[in-house]
Amino acid sequence: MAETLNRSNSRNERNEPMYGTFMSQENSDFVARALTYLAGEVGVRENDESFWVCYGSFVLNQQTPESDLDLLYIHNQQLPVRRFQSSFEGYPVTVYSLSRNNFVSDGEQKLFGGYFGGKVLNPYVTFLTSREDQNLVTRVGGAFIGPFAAAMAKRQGREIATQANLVADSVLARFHLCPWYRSYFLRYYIAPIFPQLWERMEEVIPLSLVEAGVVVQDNNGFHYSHFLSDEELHEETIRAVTHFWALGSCLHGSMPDFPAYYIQKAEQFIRDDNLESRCKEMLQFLRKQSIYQNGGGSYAT
Amino acid sequence: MSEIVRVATKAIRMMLREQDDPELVLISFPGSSGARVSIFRHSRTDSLYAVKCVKNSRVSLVEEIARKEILMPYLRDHLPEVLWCQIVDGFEVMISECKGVHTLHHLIINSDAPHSYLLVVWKDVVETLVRMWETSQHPFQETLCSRFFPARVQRIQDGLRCMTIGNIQLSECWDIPVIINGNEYPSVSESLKKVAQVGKPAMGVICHGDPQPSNIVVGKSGGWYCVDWEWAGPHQDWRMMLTHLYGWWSTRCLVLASAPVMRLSEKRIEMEYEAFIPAHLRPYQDIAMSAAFMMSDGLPNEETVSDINRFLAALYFGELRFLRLWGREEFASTMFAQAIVTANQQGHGGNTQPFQFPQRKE
Repeated sequence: MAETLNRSNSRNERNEPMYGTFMSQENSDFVARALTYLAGEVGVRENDESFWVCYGSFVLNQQTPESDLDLLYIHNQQLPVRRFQSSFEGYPVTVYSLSRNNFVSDGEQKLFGGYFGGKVLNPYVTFLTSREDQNLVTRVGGAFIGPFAAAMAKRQGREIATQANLVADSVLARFHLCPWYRSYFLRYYIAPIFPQLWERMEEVIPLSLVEAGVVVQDNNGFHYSHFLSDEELHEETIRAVTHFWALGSCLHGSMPDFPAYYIQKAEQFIRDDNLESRCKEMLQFLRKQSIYQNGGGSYAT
Repeated sequence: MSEIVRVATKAIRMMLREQDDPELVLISFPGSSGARVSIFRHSRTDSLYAVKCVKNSRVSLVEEIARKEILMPYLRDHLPEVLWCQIVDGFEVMISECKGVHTLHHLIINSDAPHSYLLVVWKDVVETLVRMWETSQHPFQETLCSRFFPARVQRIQDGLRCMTIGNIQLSECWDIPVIINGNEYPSVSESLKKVAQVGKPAMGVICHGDPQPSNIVVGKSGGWYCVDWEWAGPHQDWRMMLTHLYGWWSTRCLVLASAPVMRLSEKRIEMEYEAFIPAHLRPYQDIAMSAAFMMSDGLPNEETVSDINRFLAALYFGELRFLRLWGREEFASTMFAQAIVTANQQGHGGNTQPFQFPQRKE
């Protein structure tokens, strides 16, 4: 019997962010407080149907005094994508501001190579969102990663997937697009709460893929609805990668060296903390999770 | 060769992609974040480059570059171009154009240029900053201030609790009164409480977060350049910024007339000291103070003066943590005494130089 997607967290019944239970009340209050002050900074207008997504270390309460508060501000205004630095109660704040259309396009057309779609594949909490907006966020992540996740399944010759397979496909697909993302996922992997986090990802990521229409569910399990040919995959990959780095450089003061900076920073994290063996272990874990096991995947190292 | 110089040299070679070795001209003292700046001269072109290296800083260099943009509309002619930013052997490294080798601090302290010229530069720096404050005023939101004062006071307090001055562990005499040159002042804990009571300004301003002469480079061909933008932000309290302009002279240019005495008796700390700012440097401090008068359209009111004193006291307390970096540990007890005195100074009492550091006894 195939797993049934837990819809208690799905759109019509969802009242709180799906990773929201990880975030401490203190952090949640902190972010809510920050948003009231940052609203003026980003140009929130009354009734403009904007909303916020918090991602990064604050979601899992992993922040240190040096951590940034990371926020996406999604709005309905005709404004270009912006990144700006602010501060709140002594913490640096990084805000990306982009229109709803651009956010959706980043999922569906890889407009920015998943620069934002990728952020909502990591643990995140939405603020000031309607249910429709929560669904939108869920969908954008799935739409972005779906074709690449399908390619990961295709490489294995796998046509059917469990929830764990879908998560593993998605994470491996992100490594395919950006190998240095390993360093960021590793932070989750080595966190004590990773088993619980993985369990939650097994609910959220399949839901994202289903909502985006790239995965369908039947009694046998999950199926990707479309597989790219090798040539298409190559083109889509190049498209996403170039868009991603172009935007990254633009948003970081037009730094031509931004990709090198990002890559070196990621590599340094693994080197500084002697995490090479943990990184290998993480890859083995993901590969194991990507293998189809009848009865569904479960967290096991 | 120190690790940081090795990294800086590697970085400049990476950027220039040339075999000819750039010449290391100077390496700065570390900043409070531990950052060091090495100045290199290109052997063929004679161009200068500033290479900033830092590890585990509170504000990453990429964020610092973003913060520079906040200042750009106001200091366009006074900000060097960033040329390169990478991670090298675990250090964040930023290379920027370098318009001059020395900071205003260096030139003033060493009298390496006529003071008449350096005073003109300093006056222009102060007036330019005041213009930026005046033109960027907007409702102040303390929580968005990059130098959020409650967190700063907490860090200072945590630092002081771990500090020993002379043989005296501050945590052990945290709540007892302090006698300074025969006058009794409240304890460290009471003084810090007063510092924390700083009021809110009517308006917030855009500013570099640490405007002081160590962060001003004087150009080879004239002009000045503002560096170290890590704390720049759009929601600064101009009175805090003023204390960096003004208080710096007290923290870095103070001269001891005699060895300070600090002892612990049963129920109090007793201190005696005699220190002064040399006469030829006082005009610089007067220029800094003029910013308060410009912002207040005359003598600042009592409340403003009290708040500036609280910020000054925070600066003096805070700088105690970094004296070792600058080889000025000898000044710790004097700085501590001045922090206590300043924290407890209310208003100006009719004094037209309300923030003046105690002058030498004639």
